Amino acid sequence: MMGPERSVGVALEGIGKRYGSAWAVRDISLSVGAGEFLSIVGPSGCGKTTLLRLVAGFVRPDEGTVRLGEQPVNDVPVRERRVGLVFQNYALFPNMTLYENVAFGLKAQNRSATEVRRRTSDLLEMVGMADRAQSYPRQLSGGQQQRIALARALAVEPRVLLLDEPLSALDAKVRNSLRFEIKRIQRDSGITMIYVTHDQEEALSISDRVALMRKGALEQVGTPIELYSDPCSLFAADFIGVSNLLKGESDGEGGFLWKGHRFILETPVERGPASLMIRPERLFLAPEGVAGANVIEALVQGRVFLGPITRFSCNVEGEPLLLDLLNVAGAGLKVGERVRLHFEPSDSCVLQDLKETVPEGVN
Amino acid sequence: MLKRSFFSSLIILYFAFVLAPLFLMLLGSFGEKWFGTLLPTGFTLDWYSQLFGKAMYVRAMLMSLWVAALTVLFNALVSIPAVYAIHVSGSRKLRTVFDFCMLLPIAIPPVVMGLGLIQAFNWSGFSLVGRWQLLLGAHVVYTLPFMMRPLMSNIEMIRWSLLEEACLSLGVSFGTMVRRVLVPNLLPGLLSGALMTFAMSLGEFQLAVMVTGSATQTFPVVLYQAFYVNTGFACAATTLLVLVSLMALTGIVLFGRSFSSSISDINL
Repeated sequence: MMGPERSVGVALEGIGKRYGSAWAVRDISLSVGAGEFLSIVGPSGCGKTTLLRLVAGFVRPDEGTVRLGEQPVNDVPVRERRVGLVFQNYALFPNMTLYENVAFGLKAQNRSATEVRRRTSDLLEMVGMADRAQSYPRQLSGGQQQRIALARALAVEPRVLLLDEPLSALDAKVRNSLRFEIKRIQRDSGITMIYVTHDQEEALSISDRVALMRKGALEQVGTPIELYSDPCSLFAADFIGVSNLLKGESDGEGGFLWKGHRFILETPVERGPASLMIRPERLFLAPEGVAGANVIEALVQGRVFLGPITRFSCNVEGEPLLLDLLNVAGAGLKVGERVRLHFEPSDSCVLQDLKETVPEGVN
Repeated sequence: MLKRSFFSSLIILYFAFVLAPLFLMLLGSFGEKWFGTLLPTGFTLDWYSQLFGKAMYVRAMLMSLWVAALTVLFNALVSIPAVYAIHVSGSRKLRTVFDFCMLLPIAIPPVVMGLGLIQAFNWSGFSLVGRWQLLLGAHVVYTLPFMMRPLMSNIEMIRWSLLEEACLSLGVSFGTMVRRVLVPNLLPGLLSGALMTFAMSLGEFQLAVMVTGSATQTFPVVLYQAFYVNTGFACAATTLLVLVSLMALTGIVLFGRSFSSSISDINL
């Protein structure tokens, strides 16, 4: 009943695509393992959707090779690539019932009637929509439509499933639950998924690996933990999660100079201007009387309640610094209070690309 | 209060203006004589029996229906691929050309087109003038925009290019895609275009009177000629024409409703 191969990896080798004289993506080399869940994140216009369309076959690369498994597919039309697609706007066929939507691709493959019936019901079952089989798309909520779109794409047993911002049109609650459902389906079916999103939190929470893109190029590729705790650039540090970026200077002997402080680094870095990144939850209140190298005096200026944590904005000689504290009994600071903040050398990270313009929103 | 009654009398006047002629036609079609009096006198069904009894009139009616039906058919055959191609190409240039063409039949009066057709297709030894095929061509050209326009907004509304990408990723062949996805989802636009162009072709007079011959006269032409000879008969003919148009309209509306209810049957 199965096609020849269940799920294959995807390899992009030196991919470039130009529109007119502008490169939408350039010099992209990336490989996705069979059965892997890879997210592509980045700000809008960074080329992530173009990359997905290159894999799908809607866009032909001007440079480089796209491979599905071992097979180069530059010249293989979309219809023959056996690559599934899930769109932001669902793109269900409005004239067909949910059952017909899911069965459509199978019928087009000339599968036997019993197999079409069985697979369609299985998939409707899998996405929890079996009881709505005879409804029409317009009778469903966005989340339900996206479940059907997922079932429709998986029905024909694609070798890779590509998802283009599948949850962006949904409200926060549905987005959250459907995100983990997609992850579950991916794990159960073992299919390779490439998932494009502009929501870094979404990407971190469900991916095996995340590829961060910027201006048509790959900025950093790694596991969610690598991207979060060890960003390779100011841009990466800013885009993934929330961070404090202190602009200062490395003294080349394991110290980082900032506003008269000398912070101890985990490993020495080359002398020169750099930024020190500290995540707000990696800052702690220093116990009374402790005086160490990595202690900063600050003034609490504002607070934002975020449920499990409260985010305090502190001021250190005119520079803002964010501090996250868990909302446990006895915790919490008053606005106007003076505090002493402390961080471990291993919780900071030096970024040396000060030449680049600091992206918007950097603290 | 005063304002309100003023507006309702305006509305009544409007309907009187639209409906009074139709009502008079209906009345006249049953009247024996209508000459020099405000209303017709006497009662007869003669005009109707003439309408269906005389081969010339029946033939004109059938000719009108034939040309109108073929006009709709050719319009659909031309418009669906054209609209599809313009939409899928995503070209702004093509779209501008399209928008311009849509205005042409409003800008060019039918009488100009009719004269042009006679000039272009009337050679010594061979002439298309007087044949129904020429009238069909004229009607297709004249009404095409009214088929294209609803189809264009239809294909944009359903965001066709996304549906096509979905079909491609499912490995669906072009033929299956057109048959099972494109055409069914264009039915609402197709229906409103068909209604519009059918009605336009059925009642079209200027082109018909210029390019048809005695053997290929359409109903409006016969009706116009009869009006000066026999008022009662002309009234009966008009009534019939209105009736056929109304029937076409009702039929298409009913069909359209059953179609759209099958896809919009809301019971959440």
